[in-house]
Order: sequence, then C-alpha cells, then structure tokens
Amino acid sequence: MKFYFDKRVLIGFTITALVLVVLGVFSYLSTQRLMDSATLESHATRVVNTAERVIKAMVDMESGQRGFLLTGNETFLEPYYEASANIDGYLNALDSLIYKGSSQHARLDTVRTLVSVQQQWIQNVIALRKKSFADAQALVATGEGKRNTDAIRKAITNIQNAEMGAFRSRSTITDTSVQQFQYSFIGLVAVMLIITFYLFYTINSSLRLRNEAEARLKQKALDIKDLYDHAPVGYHSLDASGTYVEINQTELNWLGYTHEEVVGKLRFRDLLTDTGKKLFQDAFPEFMRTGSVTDLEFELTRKDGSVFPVILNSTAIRTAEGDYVKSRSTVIDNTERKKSQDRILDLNRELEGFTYSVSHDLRAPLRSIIGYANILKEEYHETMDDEARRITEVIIRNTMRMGQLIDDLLDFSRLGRKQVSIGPINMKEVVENIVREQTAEMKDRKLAIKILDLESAVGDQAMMRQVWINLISNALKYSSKKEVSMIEIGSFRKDGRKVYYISDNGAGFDMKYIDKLFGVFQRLHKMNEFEGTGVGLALIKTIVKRHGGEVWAEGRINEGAKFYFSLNP
Amino acid sequence: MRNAAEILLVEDNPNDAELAIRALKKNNLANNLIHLEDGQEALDYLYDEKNDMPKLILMDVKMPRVDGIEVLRKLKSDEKRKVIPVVMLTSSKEDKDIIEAYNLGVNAYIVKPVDFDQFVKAVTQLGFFWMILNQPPQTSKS
Repeated sequence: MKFYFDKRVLIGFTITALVLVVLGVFSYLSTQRLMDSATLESHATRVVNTAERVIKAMVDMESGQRGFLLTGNETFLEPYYEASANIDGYLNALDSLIYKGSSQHARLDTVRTLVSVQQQWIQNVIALRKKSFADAQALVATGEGKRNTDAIRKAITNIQNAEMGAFRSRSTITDTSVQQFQYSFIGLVAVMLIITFYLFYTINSSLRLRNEAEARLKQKALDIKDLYDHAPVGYHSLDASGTYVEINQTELNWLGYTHEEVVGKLRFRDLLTDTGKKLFQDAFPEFMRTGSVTDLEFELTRKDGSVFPVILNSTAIRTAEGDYVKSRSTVIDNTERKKSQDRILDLNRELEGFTYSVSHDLRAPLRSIIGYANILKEEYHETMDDEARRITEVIIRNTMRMGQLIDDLLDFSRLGRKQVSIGPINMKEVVENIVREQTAEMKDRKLAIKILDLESAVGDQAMMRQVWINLISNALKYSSKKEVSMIEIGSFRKDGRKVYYISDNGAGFDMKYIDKLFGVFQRLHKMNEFEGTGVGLALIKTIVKRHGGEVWAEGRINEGAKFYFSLNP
Repeated sequence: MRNAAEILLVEDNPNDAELAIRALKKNNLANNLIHLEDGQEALDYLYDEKNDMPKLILMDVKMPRVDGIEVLRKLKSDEKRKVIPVVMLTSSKEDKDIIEAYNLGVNAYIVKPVDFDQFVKAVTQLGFFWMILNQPPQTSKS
C-alpha cells in the first residue's frame, strides 16, 4: 500500500489509533472489574439473606413453641412445624453458597450443631407441656432456649460479617480508582480531540495547497494550450497514415479550414501540390523510420484553392517499444522568406552581371591604353624626348596598377560566392611549396625562413593556398628592406582550435590602425614604400571566416608583424 | 576569286583588334587575316560557300548581335566546321563563360591580359601553335 499523506498526518493517525487502543483496553479492563465487583456483591447479599432466613426460621420455631406453651393450643405449633421443616433447606442453601474450603464452613457447622441442639430442646419443651404446664414452665425458666437462640444469632452474624468482610476485601473498586479512571479517560479523550483538530487543520491546509497547485496547473495547461493554438507557427501531428490527429489554430487560420474539417479527416498529402505529393511520398516513410525531418519545403493548398509555401520540421513520438505514434510538426509560413530569397537571388544575379561587366568593360579600355602606350614606347622611342618617354612609362605603370586593382577586386568578390570544397590539407607541404616558389627569384636576398611543424587542416585546398600565398608574400615584401629577412611559420592549439601564424621582422605596423588592417583596399604603407592593392589581407579574412575561423595580428613599427588565423579542429 | 584566309579574327573592339593584328603581324602571322566585327558577320563568312575555311578562328566572347558562345555552339555542332580550331579571347574571367565554352568544345580559351607585353606574347604563341605546330585533320580541304 502506498501512502499519499504527509508525514505529520500519518503520525497523527498513528497516535490517534494508539490512544483508541489504550482507551479500549482501559475501558474493557474497567468494565471487567466493575462486573467482577457486582458479582461478588450479589453473592455476598445472597449469603447474608439466606443466613437471615435461618434466623427467621429459628425465631418462628421459638415463637410457635412459646404460643403452645402458654396456651396449650396445638394450632400455635404450626409455624414451628413449618420452620422446622424448612430450616435444613436454608442451611443447605447457605452451604452451597459458601465457597468450598473457606473458614465459613466451620462457622456453618457450628450453626448446624446449635440449630439441632435448639430443635431438640424445643421438642423437649413441647413434649413436656403436653404432660404438664408447670414442668415445661420450669424447663423454659432455665433459660437454655434463650441461650441457644442467642448463640445461633451470634454464629449467623459471624457468617454474615465474614461474608461482607470477604466481599469488601476482594472488591478492588474504590472511589479513588473510579476517579482515576475518569481522569485518565477525560485526558485521553482530550488528547484525541487535540490530535483530531491538528489532523483536521493539517489535512485541510494540505488540501488547500493541493487545490492551489491544481488551479496553477490548470492555468499552466491553459497557457500551454494557448501557446500551442496561437503561436505564430503552425503545429500539427500526423498519425502513421499521414492523417491529421492534431492541429493548432494558427495553421487552421492559414489553411482556412475548421478543426472539425481537418482532424481525423484530412491527410497532409491532400493539401500538397503534385510536386509536394511526390516529395512527401518518399519523405514520410523515411521520417517514420529515422524519427526526424528538417526544413522540408512544401506548398500547401488552402480551402479556397490558393497555395502558399511552407517549411516543415518534424520529430516522431514513439511508444516505449519504438513504434511510431504520431509526429510533432512545425509549419512555418515561407511566403516572406521565399520573397526575400528571390530578392537575394535577384541581387546576386545583378551583382554577377555587374561583376561581369566590370571585368569586361573596365579591362578593355585599360588594355587599349597600355597597348597603345606600348606602341608609342616601342615604335616612337627614337622620336620622343626623355620627358615624353618618362610620361609614357607613368601612363603604362598606372594603367597596369588599375588593372591589378580590378583583378584583385574581382577575385575578392568571386571568393564570396565560391563554394568551399572541403578536404584534408597538408599545411606543411603547402607552405613549403609556396615558400620555394616565392623565394626562387630572390637569390640576392638574405633570407632566414623557419617553417616549424604545421598541423594538417580540413578545408578548401585552393583557398587555403591563397591564404598562405598572401601571408608569405606579405612577409617577404615587408621584410625586404632589412639586412636579413627573418620569417617564422608555425602552429599551435588554443582552446581546442588550430592556430597558424607567420611572423616577420619587417616594417610592421602601428597597432593603432589594427581595425583597418583587414579591410578591403586599406593600406598602412605608402605606395612608393611597398606596392600593393590592399586586398590581400581582406581576402585572407574572408577565406578564414568562410572556414569558420578568425584572423588577428600583432605588430610594431619597424620591428615586424605577426599574423594569426585559427581553424576548427 | 576565293577568299583564302588563314586566320579569322572576330572582335568588336577595334582597338583590341588593331593590337592583336599588330602582334600577329610582328611575327608574320597576319598575312592572310580577315577581321570581322561580330558573330553575325563571322557566321555569314563561314557559311558563304565562296569562302575557304580558315585555319584558325580567334574570337571574342562578348560581341553585339551574335556573341562568341553562340557562334561556337553553331560551329561545333556542324560536322563540316567543327574541325576548325577556335580560340576564345575574352576580357572576362567569369567561370560560367569558360565552363560553357569548354562544354561546347572550344580548342583554347584565353583571358586577354591587361599587360600589353603579355598580350603580344599570348597572341603570338596562339598563332604559332595553331598555324604552324598544330596538324589539322585532312577532311575539309578540297
């Protein structure tokens, strides 16, 4: 058996039960004692009464004899005969009442002896009277009869007193014990009352708490129901046949159906367009098997026949044995998102078109400028003076720089749209190859390049190669004015992520401008100090970000720079 | 009289065309060169029975009326003309052009470099390869 009471109530009930048991036992014992006393009393009374009858019979005998003595009329003897006949019966009755073996028997024997003596004496008196009044008178005058009667009376009284004394000594009920019983009884009843009140209070307050909790639960259930029905997302559940078993108000509002029209009647596939039906046909059995489905796109048909796009997500509810029960599905109205997506696609197409025309239309005139300036330079070299030749060089150099800027910008914009293809990358090999390629034509420079062990990575090999090309060429470029270019490339782990770095002893930068370092077309050095378009680091940042990593740098003017990037392990 | 052009240059930008012709001329490759200004002109020329087929077509991608990709598609799906080597010249590095051109069976595809020296080099090398080194199949010549 399980107990739902609180502990105090349980203790209260236990105490009450114990008190009741004590009261019961107490009452039983008291009643038993009362009954015993009553039995004893009635017995004693019967003994006293029977003894009294013996006395009365003796008196009757004596008074009969006395009447006859005085009158000589035998009718006066009637009480005598009667009593004389009964007296043995009284004595026997007394004998049977008296407990066997008690001292009363001795007393009774005395009475019997005395009675028979007296009977004998009275018979003698009567016999004598019949002969002579005077003789009988003289016999009575001896006073023997009176002495006998007194002795009998005394013996009987002894028996009576002894019986009453025995009754008194055996009866245990006394006034004080009766009082004690009453006090205890009242005490116990009072204890019970207190406990009962306490129990009443405790049970009442626990019921009150339960009622309050129930009310709160009810409110909570209402809140949850309200959330289910009116959340700005469609909820429904489908059984194994794909039939709606539950649906919320939001989804009903979207569809234009009522609850009664849908639950148990409509199947989800009934609302789908033909393409959706095909998708659902494959997806639903798969969903029942795997237990979840994410971001399925469908078009649902409203009651009025119009169609709107939704995104469906579901998880399955199963029995403990793993059998499919129903789905918990969310339906998101995809209309606005679809519009945004279309807009993004439009914008992307626009951007692509823009990029395309930039790459085409801007490069073409540049090509002509350089081409024709080159013709000037080569074919009219002789006819130009030094200034004209210098100006031609400037035109060519600047135009080429603009070409470079356009190319870099296009690379950068193309990168943002390019798919990242993931594969293993041996970073050490990649870095060593790039360093070899880039330093091949630098035989005149003093280089101290240290490539430490590099952890291999996972990512887009071509993109990661671009990162290292940019970092290594930067390090070589900015350390080119030092006596010896000292470059170190390495990797370590930080917070579980792989971090790669390259440090150089080159021109460095002022940490004040750290914010501009990775921006597009941001440069911290003058063109005539170091060439560049300011796209390299921005490109690195974009690539690393697209791999889920971070880039950062430290630098000091004229002491060098250290660039870091992290990748997911 | 039959036109016996060896190189057909299809290029709408006159400056690019002039520079290309100059580069080829320097290397004596432009002796029998015909310059046409868009895809339609190219198709008209190539489908005119009076004309012999050229040994090489150098063609820009982006042109008015009919563009280079269109001409390429026509030529490469034509049993008689698909053997003519076609080199696409373009300003654009856009991937979709390159992929499409190769799908259509282009023989080479080069991005015109901005740098004039490289441009000369590229055009010259192309001319040499296709005009002198490449051995065309002996089918279309009568």
